[in-house]
Amino acid sequence: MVTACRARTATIRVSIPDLNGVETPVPGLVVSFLPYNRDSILTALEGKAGPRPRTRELDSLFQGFRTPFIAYLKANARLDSLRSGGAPAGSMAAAADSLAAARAALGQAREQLGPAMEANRAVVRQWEDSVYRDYSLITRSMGERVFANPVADTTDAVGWATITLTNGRWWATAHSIDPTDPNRQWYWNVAITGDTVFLSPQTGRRRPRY
Amino acid sequence: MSSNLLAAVLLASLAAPALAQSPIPMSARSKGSPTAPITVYEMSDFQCPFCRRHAMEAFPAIENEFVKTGKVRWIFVNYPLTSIHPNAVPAAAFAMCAAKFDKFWPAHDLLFLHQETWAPLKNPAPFLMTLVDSLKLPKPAMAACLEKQETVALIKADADGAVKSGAQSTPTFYIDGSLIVGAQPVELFRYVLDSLYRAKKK
Repeated sequence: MVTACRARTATIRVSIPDLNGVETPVPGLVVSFLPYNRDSILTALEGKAGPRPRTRELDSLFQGFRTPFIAYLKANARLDSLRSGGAPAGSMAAAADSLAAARAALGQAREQLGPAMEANRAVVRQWEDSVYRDYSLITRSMGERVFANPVADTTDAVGWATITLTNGRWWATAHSIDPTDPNRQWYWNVAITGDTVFLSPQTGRRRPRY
Repeated sequence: MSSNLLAAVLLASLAAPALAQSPIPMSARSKGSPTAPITVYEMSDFQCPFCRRHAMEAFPAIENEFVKTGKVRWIFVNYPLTSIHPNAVPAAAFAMCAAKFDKFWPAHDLLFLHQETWAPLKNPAPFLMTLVDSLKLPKPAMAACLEKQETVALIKADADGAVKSGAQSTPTFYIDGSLIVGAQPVELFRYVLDSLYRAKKK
């Protein structure tokens, strides 16, 4: 049991795979440091409720959106690559046409799937508002019990964040966009057990952005 | 570090030039008889909630049973943990300035009592000045003292001494060559202080 105040420094590095699958630092990401395990509280609250609604519908919509999105990313990357490699004008024009077609297909998918996604997401939001209603109350009381408040820092240009914490147990939590899928995100909730914590694909998970 | 060396370091630190020439004598922030057989140095941070717990829960009983009875001299040493407690130094300065008017302990009690109010403030000075009235301290003199760098230097000298003595957290108690760490229950202090007192009285 903690009975004394003590300062300690924790350093965090955040990295995720880029479009080519290469692990890359994430700059400008807000990392929260919580004196409680956020996930365990959320899981307990979810346990009292029914399952999250509309996930099957949303998963299907996300899948429908993902195909044109990936095609667009590939077309974009191909044109970039040709430009930087000084490719002949003919190849560049073809790649630009492909990109325009991919962009149009993506726009069409957005128009077709977007309203359904938003409608389903609104139902999920309602469910979350209801199920997580007591989250703030619970976490505030947990923080008060250990005399610690959540703190946050933002990662620097090379993905590092440093924070001074009181002693006791802390968790680093953050979520970042997934560059390969706008409907997914990287999520971390990692116990800080040493001086340095890595928020990476190994310690986090990709989850749907319901 | 051996216990004797720890004692030497702490005592030497507290007798360092800044404190030796201090306008705030050690007696102003000590309780109990100077000839008491046991001296306890409490290294504490006014913004630390565990220091508050000690001050509010354990210390009143310790004071009654050991300080007022002449067994223990209790000395308060400032050890503000500035990286996690940004208002700890202003609070310590307030108590040190109150000590000039022989009001260290009433200020100590009020600071801990109202810790939850001033600790989260961006600028605690206005709230601390309201305590000046509660303590019936001279406002202009207190305001002048709080602005002096000398007061902060005294606190820093205290903190340096605490670090050199081996304290890494607050509250930490230096008792006759040993360190007790954390807001421990009064029973632990009773056990330690009774044992020491009996040994010294033999």
